[in-house]
Amino acid sequence: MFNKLIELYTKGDLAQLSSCILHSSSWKQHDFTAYGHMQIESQWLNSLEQFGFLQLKNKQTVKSEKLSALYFELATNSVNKPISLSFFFEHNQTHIKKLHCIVDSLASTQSEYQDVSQLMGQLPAVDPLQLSQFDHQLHPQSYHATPSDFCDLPENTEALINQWWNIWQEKQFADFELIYDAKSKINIAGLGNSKGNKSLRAFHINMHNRINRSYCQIENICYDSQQNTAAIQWQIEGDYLFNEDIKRIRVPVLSFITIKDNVIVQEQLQIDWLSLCKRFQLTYPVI
Amino acid sequence: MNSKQNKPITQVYWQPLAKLLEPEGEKSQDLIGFDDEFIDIVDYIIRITHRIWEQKNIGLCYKYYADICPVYTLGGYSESVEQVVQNTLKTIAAFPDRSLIGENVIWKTEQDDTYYSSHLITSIMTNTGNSEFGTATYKTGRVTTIADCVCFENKIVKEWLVRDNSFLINQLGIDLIDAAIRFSQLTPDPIFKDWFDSEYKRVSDIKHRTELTVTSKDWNAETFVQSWAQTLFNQKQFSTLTDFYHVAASHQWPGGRQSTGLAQISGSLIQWLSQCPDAKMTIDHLAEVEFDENTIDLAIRWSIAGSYNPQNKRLASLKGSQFFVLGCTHLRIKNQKIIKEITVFDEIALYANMIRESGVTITLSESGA
Repeated sequence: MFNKLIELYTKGDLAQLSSCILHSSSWKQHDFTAYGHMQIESQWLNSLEQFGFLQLKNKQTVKSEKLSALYFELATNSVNKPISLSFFFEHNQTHIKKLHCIVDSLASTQSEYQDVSQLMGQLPAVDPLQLSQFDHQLHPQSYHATPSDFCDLPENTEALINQWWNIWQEKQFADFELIYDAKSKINIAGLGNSKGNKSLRAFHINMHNRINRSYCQIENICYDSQQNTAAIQWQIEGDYLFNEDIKRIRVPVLSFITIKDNVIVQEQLQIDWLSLCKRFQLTYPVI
Repeated sequence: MNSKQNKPITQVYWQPLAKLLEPEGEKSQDLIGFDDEFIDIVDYIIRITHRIWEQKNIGLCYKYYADICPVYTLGGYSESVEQVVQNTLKTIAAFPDRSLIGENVIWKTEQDDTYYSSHLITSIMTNTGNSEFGTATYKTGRVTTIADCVCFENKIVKEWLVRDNSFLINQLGIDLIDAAIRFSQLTPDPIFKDWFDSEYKRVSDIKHRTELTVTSKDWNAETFVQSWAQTLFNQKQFSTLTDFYHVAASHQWPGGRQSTGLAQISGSLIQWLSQCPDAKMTIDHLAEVEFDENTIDLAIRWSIAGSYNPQNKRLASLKGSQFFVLGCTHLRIKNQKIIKEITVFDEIALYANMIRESGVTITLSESGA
């Protein structure tokens, strides 16, 4: 399925991937959920128009029995900054039932020399979403999802991924130094590539300082024991502060982690910034 | 009535549509009195729905609905197959490309030799004609529907139908209160008022303070669901969410209330219940089927009654009105915890009923005027 997904965007091979789509399959991209062949194919054609036919530059796969995830970067030789796409999907080895795609939409504006507002106008209308205020505090006797709640992980990996989650959920910044390799390759949507965890740490602090009463929730985890890679589907929700105005927002995130010698050597953090702006009427940059 | 239980009953989740429409092999249920082509009750529901709605054979309602078939919705009541045909035609005319994607059919055999089916449907449809929500918007929307049907000898003899209309009109660009005002101006069947009043009284009169706990030792679907209703909805004890939901359960409620995990679900339920703080819930029907080795699916039909406490200024004059909801919920349960919930009811009809009954005049918004 990984190749079929890649060949959709590099060659425009709709037929191969169509064979994996059911009448009841759903494909969420740019915060809009397409259902069934007609809507999903329409979504693909929009992407091909938006990105063009680019070449594969880099990819990371995370494969498990029922869930899989794929991250790849596309570019032409003349473009410096690649476009990254990430997919997290439920499958039965033959068909895809439910897929969430996060596109680094900001990078696609840079590659096509479009401005942000022009691309936002081209994105589909987002699904209706009503957010409710809730108690975001980690009370001593309240229950909050941790990576161990989702799948069986090897002992060392479990401890590492739990620590990774603590950085986000409990804002335990000291763990950055413990769990990342000093030369780890980091890619943050909209901010690009860097080495070491400093860019990620700065991003994290900025994010939480702009989103009051923030709460992080894991949706699902896919772990590939052969490659020691994990994909985590999660979200940040809270009160976004902008010009003394408060807006309740929810930010969908996909994180891809590669582990070697019990430290993180590579991480991609994917957020579709322009869909977020479109959904909540925010202006870019959000943080 | 179910002697042929060796072959598994059709399960929709991973099936391509072509296979669902041309099932192979032996019958897996007797289905006495049903056409011989149907192999089980799920097959019956999936194929007759496809024929009526996607193939637009509206007249097949005469074949697959009893002449007298009470259909209960929160927006009205109909009783004859003629009304089913007319309503189906009107909906298809307003949304001509409506697709009905069968997501799940949860079923039960009843003691009176009928089958009960709860059909979860996702529809994609473009509003090119005038509808009960107003003039054509030419926009495409998605909507979730649950149709609970009692089936007997090849016919549907009773139905409860719920649709997430507030989610749909949001995509069509129609304001929820405006839609409710317009809907309130329609005159429902006189039987609807009798049904509404008797249901409101039935639900309001229940005793809601008895503690109903569920433990892992004596766990069964019936006890679990009764406890879920009593503890969360009747007694509002939200710290017990962890007894019912997985820590990353997904929770879909009408109007785009989409939550993941205990904190968000808690917020969603508290905020929704705050508009009816004295809400009482009854479980009116429960069906249970196996999804896979470790997972079961439950279909619940329920009612909620109480007094309206408006959270929206435009509806302030409705304070204290009779708040009544007919709802359906599909739950997927793994290791005794809910991992996925889809709850459907019609918020437009909920508000429309209160506007109509109160007799107050609420003005349309600028966009709806």
